[in-house]
Amino acid sequence: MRLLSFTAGVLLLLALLTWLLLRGTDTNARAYSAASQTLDDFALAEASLQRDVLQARAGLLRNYVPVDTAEEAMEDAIGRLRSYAQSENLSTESIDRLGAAVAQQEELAERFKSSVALLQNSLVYVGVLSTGPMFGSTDAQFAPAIGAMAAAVLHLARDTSPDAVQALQERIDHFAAQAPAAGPDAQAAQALLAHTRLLRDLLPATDATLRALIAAPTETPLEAARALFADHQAAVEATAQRYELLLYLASLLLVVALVRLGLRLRARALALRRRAAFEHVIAENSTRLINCPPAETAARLTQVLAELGRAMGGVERAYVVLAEKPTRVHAWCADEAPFPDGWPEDALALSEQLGDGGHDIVTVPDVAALPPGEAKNKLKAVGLRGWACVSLNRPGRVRGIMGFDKFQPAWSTVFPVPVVLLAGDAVANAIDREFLERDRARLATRLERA
Amino acid sequence: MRRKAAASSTTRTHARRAPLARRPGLSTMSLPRLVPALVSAAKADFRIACVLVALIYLTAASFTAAQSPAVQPLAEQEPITPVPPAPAQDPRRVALGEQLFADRRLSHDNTSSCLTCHDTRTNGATVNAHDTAPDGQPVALNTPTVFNASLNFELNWEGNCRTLETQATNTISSPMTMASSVEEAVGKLRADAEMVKQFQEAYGRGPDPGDLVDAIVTFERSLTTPGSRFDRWLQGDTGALTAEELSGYHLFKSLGCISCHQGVNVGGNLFQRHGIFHPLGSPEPELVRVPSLRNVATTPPYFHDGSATTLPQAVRAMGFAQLDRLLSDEQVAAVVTFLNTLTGTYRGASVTSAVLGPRAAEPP
Repeated sequence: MRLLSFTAGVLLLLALLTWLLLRGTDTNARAYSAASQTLDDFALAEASLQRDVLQARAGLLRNYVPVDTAEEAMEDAIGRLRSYAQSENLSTESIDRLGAAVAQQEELAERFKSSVALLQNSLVYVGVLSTGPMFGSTDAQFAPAIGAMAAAVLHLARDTSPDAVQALQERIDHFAAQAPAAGPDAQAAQALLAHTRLLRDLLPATDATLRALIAAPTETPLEAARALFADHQAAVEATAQRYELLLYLASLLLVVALVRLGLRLRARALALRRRAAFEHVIAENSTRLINCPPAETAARLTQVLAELGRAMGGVERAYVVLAEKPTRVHAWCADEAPFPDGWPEDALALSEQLGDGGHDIVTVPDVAALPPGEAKNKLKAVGLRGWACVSLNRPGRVRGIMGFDKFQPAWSTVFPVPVVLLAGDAVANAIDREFLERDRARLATRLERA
Repeated sequence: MRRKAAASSTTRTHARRAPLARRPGLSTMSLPRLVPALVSAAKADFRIACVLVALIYLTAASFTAAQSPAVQPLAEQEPITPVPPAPAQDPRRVALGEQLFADRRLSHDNTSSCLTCHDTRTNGATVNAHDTAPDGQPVALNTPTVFNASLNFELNWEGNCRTLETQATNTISSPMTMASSVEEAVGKLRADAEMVKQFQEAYGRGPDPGDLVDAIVTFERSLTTPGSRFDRWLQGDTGALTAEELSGYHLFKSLGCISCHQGVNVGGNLFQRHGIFHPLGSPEPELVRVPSLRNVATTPPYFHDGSATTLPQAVRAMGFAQLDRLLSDEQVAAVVTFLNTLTGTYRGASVTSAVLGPRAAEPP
């Protein structure tokens, strides 16, 4: 169950970190870059369109495929921009306005192409007839009127104001009045008049179309779309930065948790080492006590208490108190920790008081935490902050305790009850053997006397 | 630099203009007087004014160019560009599209296919002035060739289709052509195991309306006819055209035909009114997409109503209606000579005229 919880926790943590990572790195940079490029593509296509129509108007562009290509590029850009806006759940209002402006531009461009084609055609025709030798342009009768009319046409090509139109009309009327209605030159003269009249109407209309085309309102919606995308990208990046910060904080918490886990593992390793050392001390001293002659048990007990006290760490005094008459005590104390009066003899009664439930071991990790009472007063009176004792009782023979005094609170959890009881058993067995030996000697004496 | 070049090449024009400019009452304006006016003009007007000034020089230059016999066969200097090779496409889709193009199941009554009116074995169209609708009535307009249709900016005489996809869909569903629908055609094709297999190979799934149209359009994009003699001349092969053909091209430009018939398709990239000076065939539609002149020698009859049965007749009618000029027989012959050089090749063979009714020639 614990492993399951741990695994679930780790998976949850991994999922959280992955999610934060993905959200933190999801800046939408590639899509935004593509959208920005599309805006630039649109601007370039529009500039190309305007350049091409101006070139066409000037007669420098005689192939209108580039105009169509620019229109297609603008439409393609509009489609891509709309697709991007929809994918990002942005308003397409500015794109729609841009699309409407492009549609207007395309309509004007088509009108312009049709007009400029006629216009260039008629300009060429007027030029050829007014300068070529095939018509009466070299004839003294027609040359002044034809030349004046051709000049007025070229002037109108440069300046399409009503004054220029009027001036051309006057030249047309002047030539029409003297143009031959019959004869070999009649058809050419009428054609020249027809083309000139066409130019009179077409040049101002074409320039009006051109002006409308150049002034098509694409700049405002284009800038609005650019601002919309830039604002959106800024918001996306800000969100990503927030997730990056959350990811950093989560990582920091993870590091703290890992450090804490490491410390706990280290503490557990140290505790295991100390426990192993303590168990080794118990085993060694148990062996010594077993091998010890009963007569030397008292001396050996003092040595065992000293080693147990040192092995447990923080223990200032260790002792064995046996309920005999008088009370028998085997004690060890660290330097500068002498026993106060009546202690550890009183420990026997105290252990009975605190171990009222018949426990084999009594531990008082912190004396201050004891409820007020005689036991607490007693322990405080002998200057203890922590205390523990193990029962050494053997029914019918041994009754006593092995105690450990601490001047600092907290009883180490390194030494669990069974281990401490093991130490108590070793000591109790040694005392039991001593008691048995003593009983055996007493019995032998009685037998000798008998 | 441009001014210097123009001045040196238009001596004759300037010589005629100088006395006219000094003539009282004429409203011509010299450049020194023009400059202050331009500076004070609004920005947009200034740009247009600059363009117009350039126009004056260009117009003067064009007069001389029209009379100059020297021609450099460089495509970038000409208003016509060569037909590019067909685009690289999935050959399985092209093959499927070709098969669908000839499939009569696309029509409601299974009697006509795309090939019925667009015979790709000859000129991509028919010899008929008006093809017939499913009800036997003649359709309103002459069928344009499907060759190089992908190079047009709009499709059909009225330019009412912007893309090949729209045009294919409309043709299948129009009561004047196939009187069916893409969905109906797909339903028929799904019952054909072999066709399902071919769709699977080309698109990874069975017949689908979008894929059906895409296959046809993919095939139509392959229907380009590069390699005409005029294109070879544009690409630098100076021997590709004879002197007469080159002379015809100069006349084509100087007459003003080039104003509308330019670009890669020699037309097909703008709308124009017909009958500007005199009527040209039926009055409707008033505005038509300028037809391409690619392979024009092989695609009679001509005009939106198929009213011109021969190319010389069409050239003469165009000169009169659109240019207000009565072309001489020599001029017509010269232009036709040039137009004959626009015939390209499809699958290695020259495009030819349709001589038989396509319905009779169409495979069953």
